[in-house]
Amino acid sequence: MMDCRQFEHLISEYLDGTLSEERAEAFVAHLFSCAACRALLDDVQAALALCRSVEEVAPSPDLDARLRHVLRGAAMSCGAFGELIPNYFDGVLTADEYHLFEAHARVCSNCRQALEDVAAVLRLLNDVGPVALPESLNERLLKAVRLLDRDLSRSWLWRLRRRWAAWRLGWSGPPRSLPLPQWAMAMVLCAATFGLVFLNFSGGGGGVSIRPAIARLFDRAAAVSMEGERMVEHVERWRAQVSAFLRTFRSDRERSEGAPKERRSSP
Amino acid sequence: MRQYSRRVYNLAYRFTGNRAAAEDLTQEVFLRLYRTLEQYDPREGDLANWLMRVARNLIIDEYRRRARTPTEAGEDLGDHEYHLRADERDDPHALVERRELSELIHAALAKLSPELRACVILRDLEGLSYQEIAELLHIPEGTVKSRINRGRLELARVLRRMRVI
Repeated sequence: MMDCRQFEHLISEYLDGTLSEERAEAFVAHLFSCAACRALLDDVQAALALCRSVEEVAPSPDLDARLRHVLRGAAMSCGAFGELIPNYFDGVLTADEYHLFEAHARVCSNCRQALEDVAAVLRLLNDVGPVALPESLNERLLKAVRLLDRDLSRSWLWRLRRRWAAWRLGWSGPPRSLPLPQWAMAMVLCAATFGLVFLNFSGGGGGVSIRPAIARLFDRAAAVSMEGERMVEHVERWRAQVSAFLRTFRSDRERSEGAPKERRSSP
Repeated sequence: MRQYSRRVYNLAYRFTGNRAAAEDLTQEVFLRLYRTLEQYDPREGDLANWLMRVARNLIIDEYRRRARTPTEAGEDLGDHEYHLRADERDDPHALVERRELSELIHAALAKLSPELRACVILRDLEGLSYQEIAELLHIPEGTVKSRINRGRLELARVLRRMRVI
């Protein structure tokens, strides 16, 4: 005699008609004797009937359009894909382009690889931080600037000495206001500022240009930031350029103005 | 393509029980088909049959992959159905009821465990033979049989609990 457990195991085969005659008889015998198993069989039959009645579900109306679009993307040339890569990373692809792009990346392993490579490079570039300065660079820069400072004050002192001598010899009247030593720095700064402004506007007429020289210096410094030596060398060259410029500038002005002393001494 | 996309979509819907997932899966299948189209050999038979066979394989692969990482369960079944139905012009009551029934069955199928569900769908909704299912799922025919049996019993229980039968 078949028990309910065995009956349960055979339900499918019974419904599919694959039971042997002998087992089918035992199955039916149990079916007649057990109300619970009859109910179970009814349920399974009803469930299968429902499955058979299942209707096709309608996809959303735009599914076909989407599929066509996707296939169009898949068929896009790799060259066209490559041209869209920068826009993809800049986030400026249109929605339309984005879907084509995505579809192509999914079917073309080469392009997918290219995309991943670019992404990896961008990640690396993002991670690049500032390079550490060489240890003594700051001190050496300060030293170089101090030297420059000294050069400028020296030349100013030289001027002052010359004017003092001229005054003593009586070539011109005494200056209304005596240049006091504490003015030295302020005048140096004024001269330097004036010099730079003049340079900007003179546009290469003077022969020496400091702005580009400074830019070059810092470009170079950034490029070889590990090489403090060279940096200092550049600063020194720059210093020399400034000194040379100030010298030419002064002599130019003296020549063009004719009598600088007069103007200096009048308020 | 229209008819074919409908068939693929329906198969995908049966497996996922979720409209959005079914559309994604359909799209995936079309893309993968696009890649394998050059492998089609007319001697293998009708293109439509070939396509459907490939699609079935792909959907089952995808279904297995998703079953392993159950991130999207088929919970939202019929969510959009109400909106869609509201749009329909010829909407006799009977049609609505039959559609609701279909959805209930899909919802019940979605409650089965993935292995049982696959077997029941392929046997009782797609009408494949035991042998075909065994080949498709790479499992022995005996396992297919027992899974179909357990799946049907389980489905009957779920439908009874849902008061469908």
